[in-house]
Amino acid sequence: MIRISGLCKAYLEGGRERRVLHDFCATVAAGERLALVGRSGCGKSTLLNLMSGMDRPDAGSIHVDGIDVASLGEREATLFRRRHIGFVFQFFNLVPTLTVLENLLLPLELNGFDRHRGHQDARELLDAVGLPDRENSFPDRLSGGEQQRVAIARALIHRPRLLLADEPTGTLDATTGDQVLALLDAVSRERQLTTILVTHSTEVAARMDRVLDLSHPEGV
Amino acid sequence: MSRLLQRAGWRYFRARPWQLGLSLLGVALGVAVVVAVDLANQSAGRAFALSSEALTGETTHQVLAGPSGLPADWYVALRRDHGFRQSAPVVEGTLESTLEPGRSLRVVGIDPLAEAGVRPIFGGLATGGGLGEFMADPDAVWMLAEDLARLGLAVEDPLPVTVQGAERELRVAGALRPESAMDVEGLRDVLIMDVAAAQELFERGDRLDRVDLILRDAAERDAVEALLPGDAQLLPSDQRRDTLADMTRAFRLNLTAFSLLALLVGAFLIYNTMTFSVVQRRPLIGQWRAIGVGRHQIMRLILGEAALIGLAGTIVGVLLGIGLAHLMLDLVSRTINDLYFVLSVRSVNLSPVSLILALLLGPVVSVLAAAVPALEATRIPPRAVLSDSHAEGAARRGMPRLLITGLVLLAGSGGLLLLPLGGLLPAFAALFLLILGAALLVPALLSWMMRPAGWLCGRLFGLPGRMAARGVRIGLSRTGIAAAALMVAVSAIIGVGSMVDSFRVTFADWLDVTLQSDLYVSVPGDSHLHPELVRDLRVLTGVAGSSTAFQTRASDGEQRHRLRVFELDATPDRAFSLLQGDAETVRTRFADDGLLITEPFANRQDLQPGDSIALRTPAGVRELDVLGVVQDYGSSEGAVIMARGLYSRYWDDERIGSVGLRRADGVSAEALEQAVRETVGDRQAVRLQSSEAVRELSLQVFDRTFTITHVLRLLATLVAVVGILSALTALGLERAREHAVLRAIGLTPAQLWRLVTLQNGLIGLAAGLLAVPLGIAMSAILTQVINQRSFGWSLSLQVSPALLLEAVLLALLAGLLAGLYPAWRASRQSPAMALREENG
Repeated sequence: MIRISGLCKAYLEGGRERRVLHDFCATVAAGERLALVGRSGCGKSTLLNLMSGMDRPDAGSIHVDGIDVASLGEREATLFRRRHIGFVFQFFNLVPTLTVLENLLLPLELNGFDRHRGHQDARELLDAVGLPDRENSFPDRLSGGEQQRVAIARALIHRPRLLLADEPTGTLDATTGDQVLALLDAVSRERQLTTILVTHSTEVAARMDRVLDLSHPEGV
Repeated sequence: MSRLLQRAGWRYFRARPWQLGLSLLGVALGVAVVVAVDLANQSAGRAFALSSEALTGETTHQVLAGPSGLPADWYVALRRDHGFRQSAPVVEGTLESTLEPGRSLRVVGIDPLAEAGVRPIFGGLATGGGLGEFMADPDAVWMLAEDLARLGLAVEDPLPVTVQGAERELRVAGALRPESAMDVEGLRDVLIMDVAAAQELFERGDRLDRVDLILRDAAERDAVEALLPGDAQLLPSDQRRDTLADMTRAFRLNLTAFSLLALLVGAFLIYNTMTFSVVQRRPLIGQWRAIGVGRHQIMRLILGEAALIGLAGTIVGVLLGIGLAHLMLDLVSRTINDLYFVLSVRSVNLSPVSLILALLLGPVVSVLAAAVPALEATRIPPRAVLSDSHAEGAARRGMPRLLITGLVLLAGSGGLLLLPLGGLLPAFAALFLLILGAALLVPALLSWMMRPAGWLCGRLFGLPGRMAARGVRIGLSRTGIAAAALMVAVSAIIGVGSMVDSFRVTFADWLDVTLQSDLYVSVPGDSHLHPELVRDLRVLTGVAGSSTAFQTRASDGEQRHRLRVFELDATPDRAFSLLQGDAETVRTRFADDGLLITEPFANRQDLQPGDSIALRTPAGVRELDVLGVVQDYGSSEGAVIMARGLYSRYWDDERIGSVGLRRADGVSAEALEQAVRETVGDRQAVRLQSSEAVRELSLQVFDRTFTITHVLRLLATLVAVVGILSALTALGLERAREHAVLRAIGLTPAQLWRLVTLQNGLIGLAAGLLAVPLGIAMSAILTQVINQRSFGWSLSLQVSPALLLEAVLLALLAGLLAGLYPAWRASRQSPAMALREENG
């Protein structure tokens, strides 16, 4: 369960303040799958960053399962993210110096999980995302769609409470994008994972349980 | 070129002030070292030339005395009876003022009445009011008004000095105020006194050191030649000056080569910076190409940027170099004083040619260094984005080519050394080829080294450990350059360090062979022991054996050689380390029928046992056989060694510079010293030194001589540290997105810090390990080839494990230090911000 209240965030751009979020409030139920839509610059990605503790709000609070993310210190925010958040980026952002399998193992290793079991989980997940034979490949050997599937597997491997996806199909062609979305859809339903997905596509948004337009947040 | 392209380039660097600043600093330091060494060398050369000119005046020739000096009567006859009126006698010596210990003052004894037509600068003395007093007072000296001011003295003040082992008070009788600034330079640290007073001061009796002459034609020259005493020599004034200047040429060339080494490392920095700027702007350059920007425009842009960075760095470097030259000047002149002759250099001579060359050097080296990345930039295809992995793939594919080029350069270096070319230039060319060749091998070697390193780090630090090692391999186009720059600098530390160690150890071993007595008695400065005192000391109770030594100069008709005269306590083959020649022949013939020569002398004169040397003696020219070549590190000019018996046969000269006394069994060092002190009493102010003290003092002088080498090595290291700092900072900044992703998925700032530090530590360590073989190879070239060719000394190569360890640790430390800023920045930056910036 996520409860956001009175959230404000502004950036300085060329000496002028640009308000991205102003007194924003929202609630997301546990297991709910929410699509964030809106024009560019309306604060969709910012909201994801604030929820994951990667960025700090100017005012307001974000409670994720009772934890006030906005009040966490740097280290606590990192640990919170490490344990509870799975992040899928638009540009995949796999670690180029690690193989596919190692990219998946990284969150497990950071969380101190059993290495042997980690390998087993990682292989199962690679199977699930359709890449059982690519575990020893480096990211630059994979296609965009394959990289994004690895990124989804990496976001899920440590069984997070919250999956955040920032335009996960933004750089993929329509067919590959569909495959990636279907995968995300299936996994989040199967695991009853609270999922927040940023997208510009109304079709993609339509697949989610609810749509939140940040260009008109009053309509929530 | 498009203004907008230029503006885009400028903004790129403006957004990376650290990268730009460190590149500028690298060029500036490289240029500064070159400028400083060049200015110091030039200033020393100019000071020497001015000093020679001021003291030579209009003279065309000099009659130089042999070991027994020129009799004053001979000069009087030359002037009065043979009508050579334009001639002036000189007695020279050195002393120290107690007001400025450690700084030698050169005493020039002249006859003011004879100077007018010879040296206008002193001619004025004869017309001055104080002439009578100057000539009558044996303590009266004239010196430069500027020097008086520096010493805080005024005319009529006493000048306390140490001469002939005794303290004495001279008196400032007048101040010299030459009109020309060049004469002022030439007369620095010179004391002018009456020739008779100088003879008395240095106990020369009625002997002169030289007579300066103005000879109008060959007939006059022949006439003087016919009048010469047996062991004297007539030389054109400029020939003597050239001979002295020649002696320091190798030393100055060595300094220049070391300074170029610093510039070479500086060039790596420029190459590094420009490569980064191209790699980072690949997508941008791809876009420019897509909208129609031509290859030549891209090329001009990159080269123009490099030239500007080079120029800006050079301007800073030249200013820095002028400052540094003042420090170097002292070191250079000190070394020349220690190794060659007394020279006072106080002001840096800003030669316009040197400055213009330096101003060109920086931009030219920068443009050359940027040529490869500029070419690479023109090959970027007109597509919007080319991924890093593709760029790195290209770098990896180019690795075999680099490897082969590197091996070819190394082979070229070996070939240059093996060819019987001789000379210093091929040796330095071989050294530079070795460095460049080794640098080209670095990417391949680094990549290979990171495989086992990755396994090991993985075992020790888990996934981050493996990531660190792989990061080095994956970013090889950048990490390779950083490691190469660091390797070159660290190898210079090993190479030069080993050279100095080799020199020191060989020198110390030689001292052990040479210093066979227990106590040495001598007189400070270029003075001599009283013969009666020497006789008394040698028969002292408690003395089991003794030796004497004396040094002078003798002419072969063309050159004046250093002549060392020994009366030995042991057989000659034990007293000297014989390098060439038959020990039995040396043993039987040295006492009265032949010579030994030192190794540098043999190399310079191309002589070997069996050859002969013609020496001028009062009895005429004598051909003497060379019996052997001995090890000697006392002078790079080299010397001829003669037994006292043989010397006495030709020269009526009983002077002795020092006596070595060997203790009898059961006599303590203290007892012998006490006995010597009692015997000496107040007959003469002598210096007593144990062989340990002589050894220590000699090593101190040795260390002082090499101070400049240490300074240059330190500067090269500084340039390299700046280089690695620049390379790794840029690398760290380039990986900002990767670091942000790691932070986003849960790496704490401390973990990220460790990862970046580990990666930089690996680069530093690898560079340090690679520097070991290169450093040893450099050291071998420096000791076995360059020193041999420069100074004629052969040295045994010493590579101290402690030095190697120190160098590897330094490289590791440099890597770790260089990683601090990127690690700090990576761990502090908000991952959201970094991802937004990078994803744009």
